[in-house]
This record gives sequence, structure tokens and C-alpha cells, in this order.
Amino acid sequence: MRCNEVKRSLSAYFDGELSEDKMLKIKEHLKYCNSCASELRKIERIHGLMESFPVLEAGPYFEAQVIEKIERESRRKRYHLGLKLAIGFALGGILLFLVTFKYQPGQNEPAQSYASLDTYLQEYIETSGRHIAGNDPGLITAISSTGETAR
Amino acid sequence: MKREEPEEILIKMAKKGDVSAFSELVKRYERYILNLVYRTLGYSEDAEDIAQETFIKAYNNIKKFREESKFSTWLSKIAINLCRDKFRSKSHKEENLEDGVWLTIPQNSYYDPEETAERMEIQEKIRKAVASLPEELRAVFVLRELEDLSYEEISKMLNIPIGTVESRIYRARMKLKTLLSDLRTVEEVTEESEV
Repeated sequence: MRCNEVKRSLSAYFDGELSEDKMLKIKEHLKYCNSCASELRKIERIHGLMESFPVLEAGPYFEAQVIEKIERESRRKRYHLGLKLAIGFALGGILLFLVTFKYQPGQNEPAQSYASLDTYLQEYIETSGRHIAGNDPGLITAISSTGETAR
Repeated sequence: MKREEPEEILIKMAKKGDVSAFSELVKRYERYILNLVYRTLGYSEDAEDIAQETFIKAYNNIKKFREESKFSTWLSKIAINLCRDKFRSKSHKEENLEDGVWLTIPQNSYYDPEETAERMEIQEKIRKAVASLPEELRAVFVLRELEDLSYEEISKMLNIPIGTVESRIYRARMKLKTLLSDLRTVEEVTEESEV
């Protein structure tokens, strides 16, 4: 193998990442080539210097802080979920209220002025009667003629 | 209280929402992740925050962790991605070592204040040299030299071809060779003076 080729591969050789065949060829070459052997020593030196790379310690509260943040976030999520449910129920309740009471008989009709109380009562009975009695005309006639409900 | 359960059990429990099991996982990996982040970033100021964020993100995504893969690799991937986000959001300059995380000096056979100061100076030079590498070279170099991952593991973690891993490590070493050529470790100076 030629020096150029060897030098390019020394990094992978040092890491043991070459094929066995190539490893053996380079090993042989290094026996006789000072230049390449010197290159390898420089790579070994860099590796050795990394042992002196500063090491950090996680302070004594590291883990506790992580857990605290996790629990705070999950409380926040539960709170927001609770809030959404509460608003949902409230809106649902309001909607239910409107549907139930908005469509009662007579309440949607615009206010009218009545000539007399009698006329008003007559109209009221007739309207209620239509709802209550459904399609039974007999009952409606009986109600309007007598002014009171007849059973 | 120290828990002794094997990692697989802790992970299963954490998936069910057992925060206490997850906290044991944090204890086991905090130093590892903190230093991975520190070395990948090149400075210590944000290292603790990002390391903590790594674990929080891991907890939120633990259900996605497939048990056939290595937990440490999965955590490392999250950490490195967060470092990448940090690079993009902040145009960082060289930071000095800060308080907030604690610095450990590798064990000496004896304690000598002058030697300790020298060691710290050497460490700082090494840290600066690695920090000065371009981000893409540094990440790969750190994973190989400091985390001892194979080219294949690095390739999978960073989603790059093995050939690229090899070439980046080579280039990182060439750069560091120049940057650190005049740095002499305490041992080397001692050797020279004995000759």
C-alpha cells in the first residue's frame, strides 16, 4: 500500500473500522514506514488528550429539578383539560336551557295589543289548546265556545 | 433510596406514567447526558438546561421508545438534536467555564495544587480546541472519541452514511492535530525533563 492511501485510512485503522484484510496490510506498512507510523502516533495522542477533557458533574438537584418540571407540566395539562371540560359542560348546559325554554308555546310570538282581556284569553286558550289537544278539533271547539276547558 | 431494578423494568414502568421509575433513569444517565451535551455544544453555560430538557422530552415521548434499541442511544439522539436547535437559535461565541455545573478534575495519584492548576489549563485548551471544530465535525468526533460509539452507531444516530462518519472523524483529527500540536501535557513535560 502506498503512503497516501495509508495516511487517509489511519483514522479508521485506529478506530478498528477497516476490513481485516486492510488492517493487516496497514499493519505491515507501519512496520517499515516512519512517516505513517508518526501520523498514527499523532492520532493516538489526540485520543489520549481526550482523557483530559473536562468532566462535568450534575449538581445534587439535577434529577429533582427534572422531575419537578415534569410534574408541573402534567399538572398544567390536567388543569387545562379540566378547564376545557368545565367550559364544555357550561356551554352544554346553556344550550340545553335555551332549547328547553325557548320553544315553549306562545313565547316565540311577538307581543300583541289586545282590545280586551277576553280577546287575549280567548286567543291564549286557542293557541294552548292546539298544542295540548293536537289535532282533535272537538276539544278545541269545546274550549273556545265555553271559555273554559271542557273534559 | 437507590433502586436496583434493571433498566427494562424501569422503562416499562415509566411508559405507564411511573415518574419515580423515570427519576431513577435520570439518576443513572444524568452525568452521561450532561457531558455529551457539554462536549457537543463546546461550552457549559447551557449544558445543564439542555441536559434537563433532554430528560423531559424523553419522558414525554417514552411511549415511542422501542425496547429493542438502546436507551442510551435514544437519549443521546434527543440530546444532540436539542444541541442542534441551540446552535441554530443562538450564534454562540466561546464561553468560559461557568458556575452552575460542577467541574471535576480527573483523579491524580496525588494532590498538588500547581499540577491541578496546570491540568485545568490543559483541559481548558482541549475543550476550546474541540469547541472550535465546525459543528458537524464536532458532533461526530465527540460521539466517537468521548462516547465510544462505532461508526455504524454514529451513522444511525445522526442519519448520515458511514463514509461521511469516517471522513468527518478524519478531518476532525487533522484539525485537532494542528490545534493541539504545541500543547504539552504534564506527563509529556515530565518525560522530556527526565531525558
